[in-house]
Amino acid sequence: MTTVNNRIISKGHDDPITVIISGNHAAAYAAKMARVEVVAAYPITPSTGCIEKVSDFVDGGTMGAHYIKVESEHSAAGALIGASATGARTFSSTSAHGLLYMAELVWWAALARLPTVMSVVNRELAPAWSIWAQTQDSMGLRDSGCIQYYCKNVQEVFDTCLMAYKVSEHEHVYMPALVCQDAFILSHTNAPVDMPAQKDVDDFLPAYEPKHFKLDPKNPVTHSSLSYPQHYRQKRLNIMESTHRAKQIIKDVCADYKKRFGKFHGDLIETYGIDKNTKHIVVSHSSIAEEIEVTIDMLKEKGYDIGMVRIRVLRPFPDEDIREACKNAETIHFVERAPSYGYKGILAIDTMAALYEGDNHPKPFHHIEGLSGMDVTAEYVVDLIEKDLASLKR
Amino acid sequence: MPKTKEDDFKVDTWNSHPTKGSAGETGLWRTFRPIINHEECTRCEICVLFCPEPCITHDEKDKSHEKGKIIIDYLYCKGCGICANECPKHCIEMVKETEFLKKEEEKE
Repeated sequence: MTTVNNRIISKGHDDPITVIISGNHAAAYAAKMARVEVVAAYPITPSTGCIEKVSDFVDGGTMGAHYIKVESEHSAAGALIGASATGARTFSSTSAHGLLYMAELVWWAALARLPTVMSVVNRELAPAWSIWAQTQDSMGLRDSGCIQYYCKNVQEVFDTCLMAYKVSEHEHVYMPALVCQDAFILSHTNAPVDMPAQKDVDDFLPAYEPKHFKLDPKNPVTHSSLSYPQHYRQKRLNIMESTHRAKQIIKDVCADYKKRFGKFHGDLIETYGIDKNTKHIVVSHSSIAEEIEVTIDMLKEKGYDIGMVRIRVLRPFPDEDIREACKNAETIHFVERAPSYGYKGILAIDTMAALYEGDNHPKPFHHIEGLSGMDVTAEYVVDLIEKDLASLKR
Repeated sequence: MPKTKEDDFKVDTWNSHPTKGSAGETGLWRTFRPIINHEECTRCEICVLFCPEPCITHDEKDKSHEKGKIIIDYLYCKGCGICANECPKHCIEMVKETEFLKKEEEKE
């Protein structure tokens, strides 16, 4: 194993390459190129492919990480928390019930301010037993403080994993991140992915050096032991401030990544076909949004003044960006995979709250679609939107 | 790396450095007080090893033995009795705190 400054390093390719890989493998390659030092994971469909690939890399000697075999997802997250607290860059991958099993420790990582990054393959929760796409598993953890990215294609999964480390390890942030992709639609679909040269990634993403705290026998600290109520407010508001600041940091990192590697997938949101006067806005997320780009083109051809906002980062929530994009909108159409039982779609809840703070209040239409990976076609969404708009005229 | 505006914002975490008695004087919790019979004590240090606080040490000023007398810091001893249980010479006695205080008063 080669080491630099006592850190084990991974072997990478010297020149930019294009490979055809699945979303799972894209996350694994990103972990390798980010020179992740500790990986702990427990296999669960459909995220197994990711950690299998990481395990291949470690076994083959091209990735110098410690791979900790654990007995459950709960232990995996626990191992990452311990490793991250010592200043190691950490990675894991999980899905649905695995993520919920580690939920307690996802909150712990967030409240302990540990910038671990996880590839989450969004999968429907049972019962009934299902393995296909739905985003409730990670969206259910949206109040934990974790930064949540929702990717629309395989290239974005790769790029976002690298960017997520840079954002999470920023000295004003120190929060974990979930990089989410849809089960099978992205996780098992092979697509071309451009990867930068290893030395350029190293330049973009230097080794993680925590400034807030580090477990080190030479300078012992007690971390997160019993504390009294009067100390909580300040610490919790500090998390609010950090996650709020993360919005600008995400924008800066995305702009920097674009400048270095020419890849840009939007920052907090990605807009499609929107100008400041767009009347009808579709709000969507993940891989459905890429399909809806075709819908927007079809509707524009029919003469509708329509565009799309894809919510790329759910937490921190891009409220200002959404208000800006919907400044002159008359209607807003939510097409999403994530219901909050007892109310509405999760994107709709947050988006409507953001719009309430602005001056323009477009009429909302709610569509929960694509549950358990059901195919949402461009034509189907055209039909939905036309029916919404027709109902206005009545 | 593009930076957000320079300011003195810092991520605040729950760290404390090891200090003596950060939770207050826990000796107040004690119901039973361990009392060492120094004549029988062999300075084997098993009580020092087992004390979970740890509040059993040597009295370095004491010259009665090459290792010095074993002493208990009663400001922090919670009276758990592990030392008395582990002592191979059975020379640590757990005395009820109220009885000990009564005896002390009588002495005065």
